[in-house]
Amino acid sequence: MKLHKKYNIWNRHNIATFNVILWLFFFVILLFIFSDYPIQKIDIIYTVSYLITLVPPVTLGLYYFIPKLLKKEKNVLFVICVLTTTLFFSFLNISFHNILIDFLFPDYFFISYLKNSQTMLLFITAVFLAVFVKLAEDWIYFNQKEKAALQLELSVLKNQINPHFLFNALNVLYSLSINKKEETTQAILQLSDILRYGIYETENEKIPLSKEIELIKNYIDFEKNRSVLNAKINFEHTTEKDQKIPPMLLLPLIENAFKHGIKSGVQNPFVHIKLIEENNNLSFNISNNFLFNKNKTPYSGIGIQNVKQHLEILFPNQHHLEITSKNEKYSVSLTIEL
Amino acid sequence: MKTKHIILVLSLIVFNSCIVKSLNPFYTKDTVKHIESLIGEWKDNSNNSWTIISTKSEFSKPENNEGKISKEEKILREQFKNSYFVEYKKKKETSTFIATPFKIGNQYFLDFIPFDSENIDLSSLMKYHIIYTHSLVKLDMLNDGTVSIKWFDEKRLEKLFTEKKIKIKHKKVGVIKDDILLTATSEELQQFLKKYMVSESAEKWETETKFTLTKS
Repeated sequence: MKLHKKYNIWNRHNIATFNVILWLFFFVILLFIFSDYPIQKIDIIYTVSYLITLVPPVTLGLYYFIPKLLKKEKNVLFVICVLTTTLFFSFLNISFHNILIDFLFPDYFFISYLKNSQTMLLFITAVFLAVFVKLAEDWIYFNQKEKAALQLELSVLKNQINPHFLFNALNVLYSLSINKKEETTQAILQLSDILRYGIYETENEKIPLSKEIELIKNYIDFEKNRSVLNAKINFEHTTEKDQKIPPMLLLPLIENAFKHGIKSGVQNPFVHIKLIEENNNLSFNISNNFLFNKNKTPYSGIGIQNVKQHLEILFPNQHHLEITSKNEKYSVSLTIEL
Repeated sequence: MKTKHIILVLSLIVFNSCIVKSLNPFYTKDTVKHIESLIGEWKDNSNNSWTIISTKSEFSKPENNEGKISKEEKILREQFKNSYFVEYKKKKETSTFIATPFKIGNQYFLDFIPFDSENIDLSSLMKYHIIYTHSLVKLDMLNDGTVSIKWFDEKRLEKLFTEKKIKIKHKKVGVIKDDILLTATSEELQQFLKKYMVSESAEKWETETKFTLTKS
């Protein structure tokens, strides 16, 4: 899917990259603090050696305390542990850094840099800054990952719709052919159109509403082949701007109306479908009668569940789906803010 | 020797050479070590005289305790209780310093600041413009009973700055900004001294300002 590619491009949750950027940033900041301009070799030596002493507390904070404490919501303990560790390593820096650097660079005199209190403050600032940057990076990464997961879930749902539809369609063809009806050939052509739509249009994230209407018409014509003779099926539709919607969003609702309504053996079966698109809103209403069967709960199949999940992913807080079942009449009312 | 008047704040111009000057003392309280054997009359190799008196004994003299002692005087006496007054006489010129002895490792040093100079006639207005500086003297008690005092030469420090091998707070002063004035804290100065003492430069204590004192 196109979206997947986009997420992969932006996926930069790489420990090495993150650390290179983080430590380069710290290096520049420390060099800025330690240097009198122009920058001299002695300042670079001191900055690099100082930076090395910052590695243990920052690494512990990022790769031990965050996963072990912060991500388990032990926030207070996290702050205490990070602070204690940071103060401990700043104490080590105060006690041993100058001794070590004097030993390693006997010709250099590293005298006027930071006071002890400034070192402690710098350590605390650096560690908490690193933690903050890591959390921000994690947040961005997981946000992207969540979107990618949703996209994946959506594609799975789409894949579920297609076989489900095909399964129902084959049942229709089977019933026509078993009765050796003349409409079988026509029905195969209609199914062919529907499948073509299913193959090519579902590749797009969204399609014009007019195409979805065309699909519904084809489907209704296809279903009429095996509907009872006196079934009343009507489909009203009005579109204002021909806005785009996700492909095959509405079809499962119509499938359900036929499967559990007309084909339930009810007397004087009907399916009324009304689609209105105006003021950036889509209103879709479908109602049908059905024969009550206490052993079977209609609208509990994969199709209706898929529609619900589909809507949750694509139109979170932007849709309203209401299903009512009263006096052997089902009504599904869906409104979407486009 | 009343000290109500301002301590003369001059670098050691009397020696007419380049020595390292600092705004802050080279010693810290914990490193001060009084050396009793320094007290006395001394002659240097040019037959100039050096009189070294303990500040404690000077402060305790009855003539220096007449009347009320000011707060400033009390602080000064406390600060230099383990120091010496060093009077240097060269022909008709006399200069007085306060020298504070201190020890780093096995090495003794003296921190010199000018105290008074009878031969420098300065108006009050001029005195207001003068800032006193400390200088560092390496002190060695030699086996033959003589004492070697060597001022820390500015050339040694300049070399480190030229080679860009030192980072210590300082300012370039003077008309053409060619004199180094250390502005580092006493702790930082001692940190520098500790490392300088163990540095391998053979000429690290070479100086134009040096004296060998013999008891007179």
